[in-house]
Amino acid sequence: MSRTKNVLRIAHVTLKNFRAYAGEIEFDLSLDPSKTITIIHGEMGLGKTTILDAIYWCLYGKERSKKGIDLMTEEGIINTNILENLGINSKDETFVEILLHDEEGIRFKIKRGIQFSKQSESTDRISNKNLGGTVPGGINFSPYVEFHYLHPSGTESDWEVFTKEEKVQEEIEKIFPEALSSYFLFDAELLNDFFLAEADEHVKNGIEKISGLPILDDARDHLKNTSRQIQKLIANKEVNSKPIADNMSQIEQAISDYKTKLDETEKRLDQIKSQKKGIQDYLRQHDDQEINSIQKRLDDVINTLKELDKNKKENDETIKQFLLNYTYKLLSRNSILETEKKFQEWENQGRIPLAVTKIALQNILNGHPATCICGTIIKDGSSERKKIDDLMKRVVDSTLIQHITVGRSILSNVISATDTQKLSSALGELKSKRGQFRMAYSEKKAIKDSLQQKYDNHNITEVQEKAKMLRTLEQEEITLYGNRKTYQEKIEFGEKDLKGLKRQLDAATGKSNKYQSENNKSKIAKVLSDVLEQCRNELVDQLRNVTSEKTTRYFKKLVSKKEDFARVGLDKKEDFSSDFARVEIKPNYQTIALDSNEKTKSLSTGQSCCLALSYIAAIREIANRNYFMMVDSPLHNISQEERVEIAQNLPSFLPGTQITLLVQDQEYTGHAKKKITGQDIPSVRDTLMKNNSVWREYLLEAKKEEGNAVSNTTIRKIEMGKTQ
Amino acid sequence: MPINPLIIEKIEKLNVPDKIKNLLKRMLETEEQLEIFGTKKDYFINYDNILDKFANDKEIIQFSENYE
Repeated sequence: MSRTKNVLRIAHVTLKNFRAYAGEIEFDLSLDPSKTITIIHGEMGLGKTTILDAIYWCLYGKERSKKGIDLMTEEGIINTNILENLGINSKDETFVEILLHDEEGIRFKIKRGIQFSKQSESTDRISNKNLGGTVPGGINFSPYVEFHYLHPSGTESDWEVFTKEEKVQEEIEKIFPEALSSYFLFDAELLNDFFLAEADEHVKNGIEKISGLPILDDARDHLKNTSRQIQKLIANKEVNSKPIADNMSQIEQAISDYKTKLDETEKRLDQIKSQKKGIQDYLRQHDDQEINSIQKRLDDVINTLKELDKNKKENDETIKQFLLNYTYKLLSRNSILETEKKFQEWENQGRIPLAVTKIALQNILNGHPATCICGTIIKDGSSERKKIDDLMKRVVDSTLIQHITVGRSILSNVISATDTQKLSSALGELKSKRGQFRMAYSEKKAIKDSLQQKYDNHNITEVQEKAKMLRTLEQEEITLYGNRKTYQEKIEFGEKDLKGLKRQLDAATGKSNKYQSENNKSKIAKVLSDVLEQCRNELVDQLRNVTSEKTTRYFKKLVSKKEDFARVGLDKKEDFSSDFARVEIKPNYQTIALDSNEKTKSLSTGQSCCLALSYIAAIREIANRNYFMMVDSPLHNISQEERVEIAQNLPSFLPGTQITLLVQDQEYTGHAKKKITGQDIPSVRDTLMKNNSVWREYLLEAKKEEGNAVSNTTIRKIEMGKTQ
Repeated sequence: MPINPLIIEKIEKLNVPDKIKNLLKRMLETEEQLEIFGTKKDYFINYDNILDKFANDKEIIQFSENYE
């Protein structure tokens, strides 16, 4: 919860040695929302206004503005008698303590005091603004202040205490802006000042402050500052990121250059590779080893060719021999066939003896016993002997038969050898072989020719040039490989650096989305601030208009009775409400009453008091605050009728507001009679008592000494219903 | 300081999208909290956090861009 409350009431006041009050006096004020009025009354000069001054001093640490004060003649806020009679090395203090309640109970305790001790006797008089006047010399003064705040959930031991003046003022200013002190510490004797003094910016600010505009102002300013800070952060990030971005740009350019060089290198390497391959192919064909290989292969082929040639020749020879061998046989074949045919015929006719020689038959017959080749024993005179003897007679000479047999055998061989089919087949085979030889020879010959050509084409000078070119290319290739590696490393390192720088850049500027978001946030904050500014301006006008309306309403209500008085015989000129139109609140919150012609109406003291109360009631309403109100001399210098009007209307005017009236005895208890009718006008006290509005009455009392200011006032509670 | 109902009433009557009204009320509530806890100086982090949530809200961005 905020320390600022909508309802605040003073529960208890303690004064010690404050001006007219010697020693410690204390009193309670009403906390009852149905009986809100506490009356403190006494004769003039006993210290009613001092109570108002004391509370003001307690809150703000200074005296209320008083015109024409001469510090040299004014008595200070410390009771004069106490100071004058203070013994050497004695000490005492002056303080004011107020205890404040909100709707839930005790909330604030504010105590302000001055401790003092006498160090030496002195006849000097010292003017001290902080002490509000002139004080004796030889006395040391030590001011102090305490601001106690009790959180609603806290206990009595949980008071939060501030003792530094600056902090205390800060806290009090939040609750009771000093500019608005006139609206809760209301001095009716200074009514002229209240209305005639120019309502300056100070009061305007105070009204706006208590109306709750500071929260709107703070939100507006904080939004504007937030927008600026975000922009500043973005700008700082941009500034921080510029060197990084520049560095990145350079690296990106370098990477791009290296990539171009790498591409060119790769292309050149491809060219070299291609060139090398051509040269290498050439050299492969032309190098010594290859030549040797060709030579060897050529030799082999030549040998093969020679072998084939030999085989071919042999084949040719074989065919030739074959043809030579068989040509004559073929030529004599028919004769031989005829001869053999004749021999066959003769044989069939049995004209050619068996091919058994006479010697063979004789050998059989000469055996003992003669035995046939089949084992049969051939006996003399046997049929077998007879057959053999017969044969012996027929057989020719064995030589002849041998020649015949040989001749026939030759004939048979010739006939067999000159079989045309066989000869044709054999010749075909020979011819086939000859074809194979020729084909093989032809193939080998082609190989031989190719190899021979290669061999012949071999040019050692060109090979040397090519080899030199190859070495140059290889050298260039090595350089390019080195360059390529360098470029790749540069690109790799550059990209690594870029990643690192990118992270730095991201950290510096945020990612692009984040950057956009920050811009959005700044823009939104600025626009919200502008909207609140517009809202504020309209609200200020609205507050002023509402204050005018409410003041007018309250004022009309308060002065309406006047018409009644008019009806009963008052001069028509005094019939205020007859031509009162409205109250106008100027932009600086100066308040004026206007008639129906929009002309400023002059007000009597009573009317001014009514207007002031109306204005205060309106301000309180729009400010949404219901703080205590302490009014000094509200009944002073106004007619009895007006006093009664105020007394009758005050409770309904400020419902629930704690009201403390500091009044003179005569104004409070005095009666009067109407001038014309003589009708009794009741006292303010009777009116308030009749309305049951008064919670408590206090009476100020003091012994007055001739020619001296009162310095021993005390306060006495009066039992309700009794007269003092 | 508690928010004066007049201020809330005024914001409600503004001719702006509801989202903007809610955002304004949220800012005022934040101010109230900052005051309660005495941490006004920390306003930036609080405002920044709230704005973070609306940084990509199309309706609010559009309103901001069109607002003069």
